[in-house]
Amino acid sequence: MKTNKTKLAILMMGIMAMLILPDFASAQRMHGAASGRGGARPTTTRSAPQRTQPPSRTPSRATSRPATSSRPQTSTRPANSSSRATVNGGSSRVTSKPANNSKVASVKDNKVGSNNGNRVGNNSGNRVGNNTNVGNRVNIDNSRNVNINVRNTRNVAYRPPYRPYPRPPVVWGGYGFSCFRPYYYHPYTPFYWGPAWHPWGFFVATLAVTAIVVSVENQKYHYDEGVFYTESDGGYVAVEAPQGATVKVIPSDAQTVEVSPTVNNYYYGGTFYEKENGEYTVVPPPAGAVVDNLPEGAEEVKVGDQTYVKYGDTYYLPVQVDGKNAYEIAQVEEVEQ
Amino acid sequence: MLKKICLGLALIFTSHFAQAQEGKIDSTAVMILDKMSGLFGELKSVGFSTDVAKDVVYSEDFFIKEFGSSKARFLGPDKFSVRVSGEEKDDLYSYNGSQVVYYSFANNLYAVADAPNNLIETIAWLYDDFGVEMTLADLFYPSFSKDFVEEMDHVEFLGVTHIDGTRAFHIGAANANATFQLWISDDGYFLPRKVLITYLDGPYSHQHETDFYDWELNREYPSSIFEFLPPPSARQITWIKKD
Repeated sequence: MKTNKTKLAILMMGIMAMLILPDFASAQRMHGAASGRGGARPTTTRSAPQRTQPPSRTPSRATSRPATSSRPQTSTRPANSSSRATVNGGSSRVTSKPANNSKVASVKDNKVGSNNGNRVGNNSGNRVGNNTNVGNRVNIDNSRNVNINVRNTRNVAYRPPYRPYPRPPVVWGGYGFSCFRPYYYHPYTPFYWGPAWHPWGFFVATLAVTAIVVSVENQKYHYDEGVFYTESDGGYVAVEAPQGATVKVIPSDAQTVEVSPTVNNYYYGGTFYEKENGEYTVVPPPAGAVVDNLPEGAEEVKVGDQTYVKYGDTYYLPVQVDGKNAYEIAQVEEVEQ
Repeated sequence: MLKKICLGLALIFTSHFAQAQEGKIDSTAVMILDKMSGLFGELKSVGFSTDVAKDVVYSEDFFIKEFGSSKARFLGPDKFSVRVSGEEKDDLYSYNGSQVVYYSFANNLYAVADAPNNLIETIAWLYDDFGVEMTLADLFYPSFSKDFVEEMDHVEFLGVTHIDGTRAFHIGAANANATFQLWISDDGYFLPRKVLITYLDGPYSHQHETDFYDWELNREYPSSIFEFLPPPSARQITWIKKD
């Protein structure tokens, strides 16, 4: 019985030992592992630079510090910083402070053109019915210092389409904007029709021998390669094509524009021509038709949520036709509010 | 005879009651709106984000839902910056006290207009002249609760609900053109949590729903965030006014 008890006691102790020893063993392992890892870990290398850093840092700081104190910028800057309670006393910037100029117009602006003293250049004897509204005219100040109006008030902004619009117009400031195609924005990049073509306001000293004289309502124009000019300051200035002018020939790369299933117009350099009896007459832009390009002298305008391109008095809506960027001539008519 | 008079009086009274119930202005609702309006009246600056869902006309009798979001920061008395993102648009409206700049991130073009010298006038001017509507800017008008109660035929407190696990006061209002539902948070600040407007003025009713979140109250915004510096190659365009 006694032996049994002692046996049991020994067994218990054995179990206890077995239970505790692995713990010890593992603890030892852990310890060993820890120390081993600790040994493997570059504790010495880590502490070494820490130890070595301070001395190396202090001399560098000591040397750099006089440099900062002697820096003229930092010593002058505090004058600014002391007055401003910001983190660093205000930063110095590379870009200049924004000075944005307000550029606002209204739809009405282009409708109230009047011919009060519109002179072409300095030539007092040569008057052209021009639009004097600021924002509408193209004033080009070239090297000859010719400040010129190149607009033509007799011109009409557009002619209505042959079919009605399916949707009511988008009303903006008393004017309804109508288009057939959906708005698809693409940036306006002025298009050049080649070396013989010139934007409004462009001055040339001489004209090509092929130039002809065209008279519209007692106003004399010179026409050459799709551009109309008026005489000015000993030379010629490209102007807006006068509607009603008739010419015999237009440049061969003029674009065909479908106005209706039976009528086509021709488009070149921002001007629309209609062919009749072998002659080409300058006509108002046909609303609803599309053109691929717009010339220099147009500007982008934000009308509500949409950005139109305005050339002369005509609004062009950026659209896409068969995946290609184009502009549709918008109908902009006064509506009752 | 007496019976008839009694009946007549009863009829008059009941009709009065009926009218009173139709056009009811609930004082609890008005108190909550006043609290919200009062808070905006005290703030020096406020910032918030919104998610907007609205019905837009797709064709004659078909509305589709359009989603958008915005991040707005207002600094009294004369600065704001609102970034509006939505389908096919990503725009910034920035007001520095003297000018409002519109910038289109998608098209890299901007427009600038000289503005009035304070927030409230500028917001109204933007709407009147350029058709730009700030997301529920009406809420921030000093006289919002007064105007709201005046314009509504019916304003009622509909009880406490939970939106995303937070308590909110539910207020309903209606006039002939629209019904309004406002959820105003019950956290001591009385900030709007959600606004749902159902327009009834067209042939079909359509909704405009706005969720507000990430409120920043009286945060000190540096004035430089309200300055616009045109990005390289950005083009300035002319902004066409309405009148």
